[in-house]
Amino acid sequence: MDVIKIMASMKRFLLSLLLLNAVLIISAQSRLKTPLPQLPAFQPGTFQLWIPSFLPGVMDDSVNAFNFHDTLIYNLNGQIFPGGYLLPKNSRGQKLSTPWETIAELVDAYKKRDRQRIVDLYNYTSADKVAEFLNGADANSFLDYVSKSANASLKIMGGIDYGNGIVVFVKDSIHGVHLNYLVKEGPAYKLSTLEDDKAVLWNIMNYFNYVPKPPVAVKGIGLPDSLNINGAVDVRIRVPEAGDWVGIYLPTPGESIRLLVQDNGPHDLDPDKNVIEFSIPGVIFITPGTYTFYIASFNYPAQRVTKNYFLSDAKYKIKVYEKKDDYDSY
Amino acid sequence: MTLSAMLLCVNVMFAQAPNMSDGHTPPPIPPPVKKPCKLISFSLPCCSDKAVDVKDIADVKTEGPGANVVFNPDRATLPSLYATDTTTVSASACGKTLTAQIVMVNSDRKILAKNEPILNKLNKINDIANQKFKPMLEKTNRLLNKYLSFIGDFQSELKLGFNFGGEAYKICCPGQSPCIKSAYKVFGEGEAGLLGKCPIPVTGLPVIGKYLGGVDVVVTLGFSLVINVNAKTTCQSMAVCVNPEAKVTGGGGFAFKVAGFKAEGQALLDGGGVSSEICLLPDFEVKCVKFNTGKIKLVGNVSDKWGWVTVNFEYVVWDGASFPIYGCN
Repeated sequence: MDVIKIMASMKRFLLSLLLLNAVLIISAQSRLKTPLPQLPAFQPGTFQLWIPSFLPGVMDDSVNAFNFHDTLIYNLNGQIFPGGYLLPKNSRGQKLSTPWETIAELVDAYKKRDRQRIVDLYNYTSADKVAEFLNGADANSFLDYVSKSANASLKIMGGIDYGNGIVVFVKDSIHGVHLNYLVKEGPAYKLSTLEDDKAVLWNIMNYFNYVPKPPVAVKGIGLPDSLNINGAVDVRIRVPEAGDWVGIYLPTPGESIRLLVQDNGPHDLDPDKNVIEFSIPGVIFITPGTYTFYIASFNYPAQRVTKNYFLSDAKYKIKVYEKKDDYDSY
Repeated sequence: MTLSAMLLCVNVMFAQAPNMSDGHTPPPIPPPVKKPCKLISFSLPCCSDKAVDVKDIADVKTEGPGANVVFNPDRATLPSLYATDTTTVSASACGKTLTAQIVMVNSDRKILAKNEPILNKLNKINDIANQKFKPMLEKTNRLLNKYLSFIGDFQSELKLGFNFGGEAYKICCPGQSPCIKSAYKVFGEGEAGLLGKCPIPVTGLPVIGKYLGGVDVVVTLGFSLVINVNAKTTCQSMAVCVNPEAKVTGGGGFAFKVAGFKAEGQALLDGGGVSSEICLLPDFEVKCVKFNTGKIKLVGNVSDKWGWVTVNFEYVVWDGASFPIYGCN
């Protein structure tokens, strides 16, 4: 009887151990299997993208865009994220059933420098070429380069129908905008190589690189009434965002911006972010005279004057004179 | 009856006719009075710069019948040894001879005039051109240096070279007094300009992010006035002015490569020009020089192995500037 009791208690003990194991295994498994991050749904539709034609880098494009008052208007089919969609830190294991899933998988593979996963994301016509490169001499430095981008607040800006596939624009905070061309291979969106000579993609890349905002008037700078063309006047200007530019320009549409200084750029004398300190040289006016000009800040390197830049509270007036020297008496 | 008696008889008849008039007979018309042949005047133009038949230029007045004027010489020719030669021409008619003179001008024969102020100037024209252009270009250079220093470090050199020559001639100016004038020919070529290099930061490459300085394109930028002249002063003007051929040069290549990423292309100068007017005589004078740099356009492609996409581009990276170097509005 005792033996039976002992046997029974051992059985319960063993059962309880088994049960505990099972619970431990299940809980461990549940900890390993974190759910995949929820990426946005792929919901393409038609939309218009308005790109200022005076934005740096923008190409003429009368073929694909409607040109209206210094603006290129593109009618597109696709989906964009106005502020960009910031990819989650870990996005491995996507099904590749949407373009965003394929990009998330690519970014994760780049982060982890996983060559085979990168190759597997390409379609059958491109995979061999990519594999050859990733096993070549430049592969390590390439992976250094792309893993930096992948780890630098990478955002999906959007995607558009293009050719036989979809072009997805991604942007990182170091290297700017990258293009990805995806085609459907079965149920999956696969990456493919692309050579493009049209202006559409280039212009949209420039748009996403800067996501231009209207210029902001720089008000109330204490400028002198007059300035020697060979002299300069120092100014200190606070800009809305770090890395913004301050431009000085005359009210002549189509002309070059006379002076452009970037926050923390080579001509900014103030190391603080959001503050630009620089000299306005008289020579930017080229010849003596009385000038009306504007000072405004931009979130892109403004290059050409356009009517949109004529902000009434950014207007200044100065008399530029020249002290004659020996060389002027010819 | 002799002829003179008959004529006398007729005269008597005419003289008596009024008295014979009865109111029905019209008065007789007197015959024309035949004057004797007479050479009244003969003159020639002051000068001619081409060989001519005298009859074509002579101003001859005669009276009476049978005035067959004969010129000697009948053709005025250009002098071969000298720039001018006075030719005396006689005109004979009606037993009378008159003479006139014409200065024949070989306007292709240069003269060796000493102490002619303008020829002295022409002999020094290369030095004068240098003196005029050098400070002008130096000033422009300083201006460009300062202006472009906010884009990049502009380094430039002046281009100055003149090889002009001058010669004096005589020309015929009919209707002017004196009708023979000195004319001056200026010939040769010259060049004035400057050529510099400037690194321009490439904006508008969306694959290098927002900050400038990632990629520079070193562009050459410059202009020159090329003066080719072969002109002579005229009776109406002592000025020799030219609109020099203007050359604007610019451009350069750039490449930015890291593993798997490549941006490369060319900077091209689009447009640009120089307006100018320069007078070499009567004084060397630069009337206007204006330099428009033109736009700098980038043409190339970006190849990014991030997504294995290659994109071509062509866009304006700098819209240029205009520099009124001297005298233009």
